[in-house]
Amino acid sequence: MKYFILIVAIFFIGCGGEPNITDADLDGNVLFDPSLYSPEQFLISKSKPNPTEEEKQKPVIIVAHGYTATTFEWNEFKRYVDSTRADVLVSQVLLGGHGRTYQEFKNSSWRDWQSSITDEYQQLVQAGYRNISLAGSSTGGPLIVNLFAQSFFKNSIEPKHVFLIDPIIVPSNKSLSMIGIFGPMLGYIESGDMTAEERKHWYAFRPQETLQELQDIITITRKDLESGIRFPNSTHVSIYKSLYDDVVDRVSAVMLYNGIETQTPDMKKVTLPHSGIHVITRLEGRAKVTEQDRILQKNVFDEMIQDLKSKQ
Amino acid sequence: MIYFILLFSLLFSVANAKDEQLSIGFRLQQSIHMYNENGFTLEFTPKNLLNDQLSFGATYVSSRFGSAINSNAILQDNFVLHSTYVFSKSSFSPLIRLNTGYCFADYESALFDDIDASMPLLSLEAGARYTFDIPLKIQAGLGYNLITSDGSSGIGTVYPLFVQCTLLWSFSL
Repeated sequence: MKYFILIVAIFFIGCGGEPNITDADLDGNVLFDPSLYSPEQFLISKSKPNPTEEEKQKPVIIVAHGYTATTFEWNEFKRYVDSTRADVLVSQVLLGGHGRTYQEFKNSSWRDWQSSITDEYQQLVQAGYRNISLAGSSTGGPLIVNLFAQSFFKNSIEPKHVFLIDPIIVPSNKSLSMIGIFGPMLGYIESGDMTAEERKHWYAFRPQETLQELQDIITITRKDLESGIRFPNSTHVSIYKSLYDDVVDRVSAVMLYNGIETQTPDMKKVTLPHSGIHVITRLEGRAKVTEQDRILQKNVFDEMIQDLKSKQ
Repeated sequence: MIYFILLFSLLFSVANAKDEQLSIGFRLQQSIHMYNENGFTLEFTPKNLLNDQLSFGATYVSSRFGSAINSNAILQDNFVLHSTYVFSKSSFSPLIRLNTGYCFADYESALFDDIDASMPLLSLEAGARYTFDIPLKIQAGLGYNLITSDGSSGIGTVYPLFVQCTLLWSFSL
């Protein structure tokens, strides 16, 4: 019913103007993702372009954030890996069009978003890394899964493990499915409650063009999953999907689990924690975090590290 | 409440049938950005009720006969009671329809037992009907599901907008 009211409101009010972006917003021309200034602090291909033979065998994981987010989304994982001396290399990619300005985001497509992941993967392979895994949170999930549907890894190094954290295939808010109809009238949608910290690291204003791109990539991935996506023989997959997430519908986990085909059934696993957080691995910047959230985050990090290290 | 009213109306009408019309047929339904679900429909038009322009019926559509054929799409079954009002008795007429029922999903694994596998359905449709010289009717319309999942409850694959096309063969009782 709330969607119906929303539609009526759109018809009568409309908006379509330019968003009111301040200098405190990532969307503006002041704040940018730090990986744009210092890529060597985020990308392994930049910090270790000439690995030793030992480093080439080390697990390296490319972590991709979600729609409107930045490298910030995976900072806690990187810090945790470093603090536990896990001997895992973390490469934090900034999706194309993200972490820059509203206009650059507006002009980007989901293929631009995805290109950062493929660029880093190819550079790591070229540098000689052999033990590469991938992790995607939210929209990072379908962007990674789509690479398997495209057989991107066919003539390359097979990823060892894929981690999908609250991956989106079906949004919680089903009005996204009508963005093609009502988007042009809206122009953009402002995100709901965001903390001041979050406004520095996430776009607060979502251009309707990018919402249509989001709808496109999740529809393509859903259809690919319905046909079945065969993962390479040595690739494992772990899906984590919180049960009470207001951004991504939990049925996304069902579609991914049933649609991804691994060499053996035990190479894929799904975990459905009783959490209301979207992207359970990112707690920093949130208005409210419980002890249970911290325990869950730590458990997921530990499982990821264990899975990465078990494939050395 | 709506279920009871529609069910009572349907049963009452059938029980008192005389010179009434019964139609059976196929329904093809496509949710915008989600599944194609097809199935069967039954419609009963009582005599002299709103000038023969109001009918009651029941429909079963499922992804089993649509998106889930030879695919990993989620199996979901929709059982719906409905009432349709056509605006005129001419061969071509606009119509409105109220649907209410239940949707059941089968996730095919105990791993997903924590996810709701059923939810109520309530939708409105607007469209048109064309009646041929033979006892064949074709209906097409655009529907809107008033109840959808919020991501934490219900079935996530019930989407707001859908289009449908129904072919009905009529019999006089």
